[in-house]
Amino acid sequence: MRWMRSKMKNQIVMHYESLAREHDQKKRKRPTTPLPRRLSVSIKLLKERFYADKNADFQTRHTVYGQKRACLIYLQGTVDQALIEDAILAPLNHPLPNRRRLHPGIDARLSSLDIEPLATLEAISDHLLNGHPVLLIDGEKEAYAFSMNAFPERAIDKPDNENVLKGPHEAFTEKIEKNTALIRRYLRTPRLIHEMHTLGRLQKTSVSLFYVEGIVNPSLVETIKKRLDAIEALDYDSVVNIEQFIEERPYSLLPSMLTTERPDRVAAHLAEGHIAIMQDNFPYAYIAPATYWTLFHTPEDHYARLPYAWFSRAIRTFAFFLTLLTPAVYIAATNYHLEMIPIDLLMAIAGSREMVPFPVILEILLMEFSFELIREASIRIPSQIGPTIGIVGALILGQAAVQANIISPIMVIVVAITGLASYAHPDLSFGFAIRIARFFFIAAAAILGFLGIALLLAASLAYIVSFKSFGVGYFTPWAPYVPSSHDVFLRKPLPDETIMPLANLPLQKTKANRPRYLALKEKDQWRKKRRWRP
Amino acid sequence: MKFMKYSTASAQDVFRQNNPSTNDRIGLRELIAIDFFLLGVKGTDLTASFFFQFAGSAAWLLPLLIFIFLLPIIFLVTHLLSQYEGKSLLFISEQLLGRSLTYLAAFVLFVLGMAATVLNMRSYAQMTGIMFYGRTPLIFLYGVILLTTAYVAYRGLEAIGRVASLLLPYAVFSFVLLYFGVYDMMDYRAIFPLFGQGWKMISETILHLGFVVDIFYFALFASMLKGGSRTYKHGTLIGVGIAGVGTMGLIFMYTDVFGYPGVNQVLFHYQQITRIAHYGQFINHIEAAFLGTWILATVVHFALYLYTMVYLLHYLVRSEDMFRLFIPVTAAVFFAGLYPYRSEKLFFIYREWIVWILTATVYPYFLLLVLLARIKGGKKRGRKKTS
Amino acid sequence: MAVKKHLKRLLPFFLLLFLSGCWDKIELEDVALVTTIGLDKGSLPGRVDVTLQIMNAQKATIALGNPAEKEPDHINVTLRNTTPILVKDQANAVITRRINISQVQAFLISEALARDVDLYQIIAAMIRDPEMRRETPVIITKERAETFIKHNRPKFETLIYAFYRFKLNRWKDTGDVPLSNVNDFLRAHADGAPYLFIYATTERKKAETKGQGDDTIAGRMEVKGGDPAEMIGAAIIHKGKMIGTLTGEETRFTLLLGQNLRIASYYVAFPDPDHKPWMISTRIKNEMPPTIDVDLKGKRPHITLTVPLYVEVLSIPSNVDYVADMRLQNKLARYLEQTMHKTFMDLVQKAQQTWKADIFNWYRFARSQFLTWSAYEAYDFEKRFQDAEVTLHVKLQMIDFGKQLRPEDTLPPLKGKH
Repeated sequence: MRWMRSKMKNQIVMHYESLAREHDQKKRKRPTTPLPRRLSVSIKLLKERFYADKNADFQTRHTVYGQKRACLIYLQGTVDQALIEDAILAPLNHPLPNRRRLHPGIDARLSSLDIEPLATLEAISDHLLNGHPVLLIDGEKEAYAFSMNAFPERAIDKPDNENVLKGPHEAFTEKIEKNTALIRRYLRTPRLIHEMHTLGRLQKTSVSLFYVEGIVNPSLVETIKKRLDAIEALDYDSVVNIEQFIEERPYSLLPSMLTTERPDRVAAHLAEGHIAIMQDNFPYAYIAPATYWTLFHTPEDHYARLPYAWFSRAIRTFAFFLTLLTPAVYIAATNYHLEMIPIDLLMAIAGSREMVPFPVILEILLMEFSFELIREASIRIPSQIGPTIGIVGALILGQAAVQANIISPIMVIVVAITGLASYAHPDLSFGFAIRIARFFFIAAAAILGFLGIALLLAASLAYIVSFKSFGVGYFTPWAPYVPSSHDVFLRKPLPDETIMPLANLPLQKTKANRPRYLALKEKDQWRKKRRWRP
Repeated sequence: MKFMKYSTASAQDVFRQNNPSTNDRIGLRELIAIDFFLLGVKGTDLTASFFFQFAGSAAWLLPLLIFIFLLPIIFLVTHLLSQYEGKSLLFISEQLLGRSLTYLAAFVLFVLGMAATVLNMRSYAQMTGIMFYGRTPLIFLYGVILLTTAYVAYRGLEAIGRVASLLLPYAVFSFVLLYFGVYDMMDYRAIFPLFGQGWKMISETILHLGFVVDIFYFALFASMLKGGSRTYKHGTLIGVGIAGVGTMGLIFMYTDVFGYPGVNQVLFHYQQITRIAHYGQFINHIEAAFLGTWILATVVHFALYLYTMVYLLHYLVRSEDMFRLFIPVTAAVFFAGLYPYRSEKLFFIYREWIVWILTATVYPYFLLLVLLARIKGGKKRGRKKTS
Repeated sequence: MAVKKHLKRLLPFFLLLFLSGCWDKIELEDVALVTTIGLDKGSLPGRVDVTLQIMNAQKATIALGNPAEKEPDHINVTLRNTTPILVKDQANAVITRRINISQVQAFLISEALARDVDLYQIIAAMIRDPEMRRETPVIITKERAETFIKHNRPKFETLIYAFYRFKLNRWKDTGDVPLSNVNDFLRAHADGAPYLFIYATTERKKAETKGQGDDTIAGRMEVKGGDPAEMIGAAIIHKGKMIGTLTGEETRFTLLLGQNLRIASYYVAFPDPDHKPWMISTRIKNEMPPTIDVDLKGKRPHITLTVPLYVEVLSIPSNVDYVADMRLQNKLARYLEQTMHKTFMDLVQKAQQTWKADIFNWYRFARSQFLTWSAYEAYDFEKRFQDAEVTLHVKLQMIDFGKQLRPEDTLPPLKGKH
């Protein structure tokens, strides 16, 4: 029977994985050039490398280092000029007190700075590009880079898309060091590991991996690292958005990673055994693996009190079904199952539709399309005319269209409810998925009424349930039943949530020291008595 | 536990295999849901007419009777599975009967299963067509339902199990809702006389045990159960119990609302009952909503049938990849379902034949396996056991 | 992988699904909704005349557009000498839209048809259409259904469907008519039992005896004005044919004795025991249904009924002090029991002798005495009902006078000008 099991494959084979296995064997090495000893030669090589005759940013400041000539090179704008002059150039212009050397080659005047010795031109150019000024000394075989970059950046702001009423209001910015600091502020443990990889040939973004050692499953970390290695081996010019490079199914409607810009959310997920991936110049963190519940829960569900959390989740679930099914149910009811509508409403709808020239399906598509147009346009509208367009679009156009008998008034209500409900879903990517899926449901309802809706629902359920994000099924604590804190739809009071979600196979099973829930071990006598509880 | 050990070699595959959510295993809750959908949906189709034929006004007691007769067989099959822990039925029968006899058995199971699938699917498509979609051609309806079912089955057995466990609360909820909807049209005195057709009930039940043979087809997948034969026993008992209670309730509703013998004049009981359900003054005529949940349950039910058929064909044909066989099986089911039969009477006749043949072949096959297992077990220990 | 590539080429053919016609699609404005279907005897034997009443949807429009001023509320179409199933297509010769009978509010069958033809055949034929519903109410009209539909123009309801819906709720309140629908009729017919249908008419005739109140059949009530249609009382259908009618009060008591009366309370007036012209108005609350015991052991079935009455006496115009005087109260209680007993026994006698049918549906209680269906069929309760011995005990459980003063209490005089 074993041959049968091995042949049963229904997973999409990861082509990144196979590539990674190939490239593991032949890792290409990048060529490196050593630093010439003579200052003029090295400056000339660097100027060639950076096209200094065309490039206005390449600055050189000549100075002396003791008896030798030295040159400080930096890219303008990436360093703080006042700081350079204060911290580097000024001490260098003073005479040496004595020849005490802390670093071989550099001395005590500059010992307060973070200095890294560099031996190759590629390393020098990397550091220059990262905003570290480099000191070249004539006759030395190493140059020294000072890490004092001062790229302009944004201040920490409120989150744009994930607002909560009660909870922290911080969001990530573009600078990776600041984001790291934010995460470290929430999770103060030495086991929080932050790995940095550099990707991209032109762009050279640093991709950071966060996880908590001892909680997260090592094979999950290895999976992601392998994928990152594969991307690196493929030598892309720029890695714009790391999510789309790492995910398994780019064509799928469903996101396999959670996108968040709140550090408290990242910290909470790290503590449950997820991995966070962040990128420089991108103020969002990606959390892998993500189940549907990760995308559905807001941080407010845990910050707010229990009844409000239940209520909020109930409303969101209801909104989810509303936005997916309302236009489809309307089409099915008015075209195929007339008897479903109560007769008063039926007469009213029928009466108001007598003058309308379009069939119901065309009307719905027209209204949905215009709503999507409004949505797309409203992202890019300049803020001066934004509110005006709102009034024009909603009130006047809608009213005028109804009075001109182009659409029936019920249609306006249906489309408005759908549109409003689609914003109730907390995750942006999943909101897009719902918006697109809504059109499939409209098509299914138009062909076969409720039968079409039910069939498409069954097919999409089967698809969602077999969708795996990094090996974890999408509906995990519910659909394949896995012991967890049952924080799926209705959560327990926070002191009772003591088990980790075992979907991620964390190494640590509990969040607290309650002996009842430690009964996950085989030999515990509690396990025999409480058969049906984890 | 097993999934706590891991090796560094090919960590991605190991993660996939050992993760409880992706290791191709069916847990207890999924099994309960699968058994519920295998048996519970039968209460909503023409099987109810068969029950009324056997037992008259006591048709609502028939699921209980069937359950009582099933109990010993379930225990026997579980005992068999526990002797060869973690192996599927075909492996066990290869050990006990030899390869060629197992081939024959698998072939018979396959043919019977295909006949049952085709007949049932066509009758469900016809039900939907007659009650709701009068003008749509039957081929189209049948094809669309078959396509969706095949897609759901193509996602794999664990996907079907998860969908079933997701839909189970909604099926139960819609059943309760239905009960409240027809509450004031029910007259419970229609279930008297209590024992309907008398002793005939018991003999008919035993002859027609083939109605519930689906749960024993699931023993083919016993190697995929998390927790082995213990899960099988608990899951089957609880799943069949819930399905039995549900079916009993449904047939009770049919008897009370349509009256006995008035219920024999109604062809599609479930659809007619949903047409009667009303809640207050304004919410009535919502049979389309019940159609939605019914179709979801139907799709899960037939997805399991299709998957089982593809699995059996895979065993018989020994192809490379099991999932490539979906296309021939689906096409065969489609074309076989186009065969026109002239009246509903013929449907009943064919169904009864298939059920008789199933009762006559599958249960003796299982009992034979149990017998052989006990004899072999006796020989191993060197003692003669009386069976 | 190669298979997938070839499969992808088949994908455009899936789009054919969209091009294929949606066979069952109906546009709302393309549909004619039928409110009522009336069946009459056709002039040819074996045929029926079918009348359809179709509503005009534009009269119920949301008032943003202009409602059609000159269009009628509804139109009636009669098709003569046809069969019930052919109606939908035949009517399209004179109706522009597709006829949809899923919103039919009531079936009207004329008495002439019910007395002549097996109703089961007709109703079962109509039910074959999947759009037809089993919980549609069925009404038997004294005159031709066509005439009833034509004359039935309620004063307040603009759209005719509201008439039947509101009337149904009134039926639930008063209990003067039985709630008859197709499902229960088919059920009773399969059981071989009689069934009570609502009886209605628009012809008003002079009442035969005056002062009957509820105790009249439709058309003979002493009432002037109101809606043209009068609905009270029941028609009895046994084995598919109509055999008699019941007055309103008789209907109520029939339903009560069969445990089918599902209303909260009803009003009955009794003549005052000593002071004959005056009537005592009471309200009888339906708190516990009567207990019915069927004893089938002897030669004749023996049926024992205990009817508890919870009476609330509302007005005593004769000013006899039943409130405070206990002797008088007991006298009143006994008198009420006797009157009710007499009324019930009259009804049972009528059922046994005149109609020879078990209109109270006591066979349901007889069924629980048997263990198998064959035993029950062998006993044949229907035939033996005519010889059955019925013992009725009316027990007045409570007599209540409500919130009222004693008859002799008068209000204190106004403190006006001293």
